[in-house]
Amino acid sequence: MGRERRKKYEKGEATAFMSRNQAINKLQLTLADFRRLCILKGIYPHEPKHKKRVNKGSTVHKTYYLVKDINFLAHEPIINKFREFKHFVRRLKKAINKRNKDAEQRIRNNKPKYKLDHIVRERYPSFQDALGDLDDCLSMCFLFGTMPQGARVHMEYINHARKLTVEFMHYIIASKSLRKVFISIKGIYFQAEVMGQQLTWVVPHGLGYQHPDDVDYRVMQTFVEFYTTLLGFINFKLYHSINLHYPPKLELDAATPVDENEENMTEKERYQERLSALSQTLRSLDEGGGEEEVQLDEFPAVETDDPDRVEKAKVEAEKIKKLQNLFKGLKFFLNREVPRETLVFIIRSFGGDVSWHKSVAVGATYPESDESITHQIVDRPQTKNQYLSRYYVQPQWVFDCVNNTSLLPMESYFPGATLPPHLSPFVEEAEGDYVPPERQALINRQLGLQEDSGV
Amino acid sequence: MEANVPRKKSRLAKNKKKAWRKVDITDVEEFLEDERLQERTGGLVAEKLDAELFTLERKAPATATEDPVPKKKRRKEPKVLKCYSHLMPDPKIKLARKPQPSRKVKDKQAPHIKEKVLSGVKTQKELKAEDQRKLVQEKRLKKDRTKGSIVVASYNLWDDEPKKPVDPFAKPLVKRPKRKAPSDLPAVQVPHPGASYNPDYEDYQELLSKAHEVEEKKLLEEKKLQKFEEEIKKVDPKTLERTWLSEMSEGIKDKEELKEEEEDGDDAINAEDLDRISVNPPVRRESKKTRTQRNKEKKKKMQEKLKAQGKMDKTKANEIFRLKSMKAELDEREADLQRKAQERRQKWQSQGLQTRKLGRLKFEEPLLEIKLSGELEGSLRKLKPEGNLFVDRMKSFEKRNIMEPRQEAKKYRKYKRKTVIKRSHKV
Repeated sequence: MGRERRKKYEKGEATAFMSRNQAINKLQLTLADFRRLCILKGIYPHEPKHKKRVNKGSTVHKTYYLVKDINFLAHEPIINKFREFKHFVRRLKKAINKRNKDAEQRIRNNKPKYKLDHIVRERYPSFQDALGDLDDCLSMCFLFGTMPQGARVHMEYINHARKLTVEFMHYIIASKSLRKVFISIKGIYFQAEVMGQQLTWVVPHGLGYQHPDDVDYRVMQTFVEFYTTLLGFINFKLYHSINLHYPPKLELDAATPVDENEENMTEKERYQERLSALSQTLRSLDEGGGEEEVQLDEFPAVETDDPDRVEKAKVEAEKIKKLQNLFKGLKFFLNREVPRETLVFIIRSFGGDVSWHKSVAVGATYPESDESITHQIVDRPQTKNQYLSRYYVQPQWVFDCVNNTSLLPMESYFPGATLPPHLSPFVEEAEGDYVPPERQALINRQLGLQEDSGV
Repeated sequence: MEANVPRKKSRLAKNKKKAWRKVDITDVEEFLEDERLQERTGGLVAEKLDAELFTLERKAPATATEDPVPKKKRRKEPKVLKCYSHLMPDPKIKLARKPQPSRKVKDKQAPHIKEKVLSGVKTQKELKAEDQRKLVQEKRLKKDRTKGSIVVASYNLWDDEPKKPVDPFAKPLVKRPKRKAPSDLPAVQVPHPGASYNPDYEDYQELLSKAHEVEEKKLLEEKKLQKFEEEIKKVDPKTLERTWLSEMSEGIKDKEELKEEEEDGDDAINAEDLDRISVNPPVRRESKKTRTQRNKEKKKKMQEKLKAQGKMDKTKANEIFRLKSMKAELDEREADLQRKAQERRQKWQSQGLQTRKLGRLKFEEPLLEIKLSGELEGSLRKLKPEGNLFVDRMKSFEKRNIMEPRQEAKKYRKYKRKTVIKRSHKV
């Protein structure tokens, strides 16, 4: 009639957690494979509340995973692909060492491949979930797109990441979703609003970038593998939401003649280069519709008849519309010393036209001598101001205009002038906080007050 | 019979082989062999003329100095050995050519079939076969030979299609366990305004002060360590050793001490042991309490109890006059509870923002990226990026409890390396 003696560590936390080595033994994988699987599936280690209980009395630091998570991992079909890959490597090595070229070729052609579609679907059951996780994804993909050849990562991942980021930038340009930009010493931060979700991502500076040794590139490669798949699907959905072809097709691709730089490129490379130039518009799915009729984010039907709120919403909508056409009608020309891709992206997102010297990169639409250019972006202290019909400004002018949603006076941005400070648009001042005088002046200008009106 | 008839020597019987065997005929044989040899090699010498056999030498032989002895020429060993000369082809003998079977396709087809093929008319079957061959070739060329596993997204993943008819024999799909996000921190943290490439003065000073605080903390730690080290240095090594020895040998009984204990015996309680053993003084009959004493004590206790109760009753009865202060007390207690609840709630909320210890190594905050005022250039062209985005991303993963901090596994040798010089290699 008496119950069996209850022993310690048989119930509760001790049975809910599993150490990493136990998990590896259960799944029968190597450590590297287990790590890859966890990263791909989004299974993270957990810290138990009472380590002593979980570890059966000892306090050695271990990595713990939840037993339910590991049991869930065991059902993943990709594990078989990992094992197949291990066997593939073994057979290939054997063929190479025996100098059997036919076998080697044959085995290489039948390399086992796997797809991550079902994992993406399972981790993000709805599109909004995926958008919520897009910050990390974008930052990683942009970062990987800048890696040079010969880095510790396979070239195909780098190329794929670059391709996807270019596609995403094209989408942002077409949907006019960019809102804020900030240049920091670490990189350039962008903020955009896509389908009601605010996305923030970092892009590294173009030059002077080092690739450190103490980073585990294999781990990053696994992350990128997953994120590129995710970004591919997201791009597909975003492109279809604004009626564009995916994979993107340039509108005037066949019409533009082949440049001298492009002569030695293959069809694919030429197309990719033109696409990454971000200077041409994309072809839409339905002819005659086009990207001009992009709808603004529709505000949900305001149930409350609160006039204040409706007013606010209207004002917001007006602001955004004004922002989206900030550079409309302006023609820019970029000098060589200026970060080309970032500026092209920003200028085109706000409706402007931009070009550069054709020896810098493929895709320049008009030369420097074009008379209708209104602004030329230079960064050198002394320029031979050849043309009187255009303004010469430093690149910070573009960024500051975007952050202030209006065209700023250009006197303080002329080449050789000391620039005003580049303020962060992510700071939202609460009442009573200190506001720097420049920012106050800008806010006043926005609100329509006179300058020098004081705090 | 005739005795003593002189026996005659047995005569050679020339017609019997047996007889001849007994005779020694080697000299005759030799002479005949010689004759035959002469005949073979140039004719019978007896029949030759004198002039053929002999010559008269009338001149004196020439001296040796006229013809110098030719030097021995080192004849080059012929590469081709003479013994193999018969294996070499004789140039005078021509090759006997044999007709080889020709590789050209022989005309195996019958003439009427040849005509058909040449005319160009094809049967249905043949036409079909050609089409199918083309299709298969196209398919093979189109086969996805992508080198890697990179595939372009070609369909809408989040398409809400009607579910396909469920296969009753299929394994039920395993549901993903619902988990909270590992951290509530944002994936990309917006930088401090002072980290701009051309920062505002105030923001920059704020950032500098933050960096200053971090450095100050580090300095404090270092100072503490230095102080401790100095204290240690002051101690004399001899005294240090003595104190160490005495501390380490606590509880260990020396040989002499053990002997003493044996001598004293088991009954006697030593002075040392007194503080370990709790000894009560022996009980004496005189100090026993009597019954009256005990009763008195009981009464006293009861009285005290009643008094205490009476007091309590009084206070309870008068509590009604204490309403205000009671209310104040209750309010205070409620406020206290609420404050504690608030603290607990805040702690609970901040749990989402905490970095957990997921592995052996502790999470180290990344260094604050800041450009010293001397390094601040106002121009984007001259900007040298500070900090590394790769490291930043990794730290972000660690901070958000997605990965545990990792260290590269050190390669170490289990056994020390030994160098041995070979005996043959004499220095």
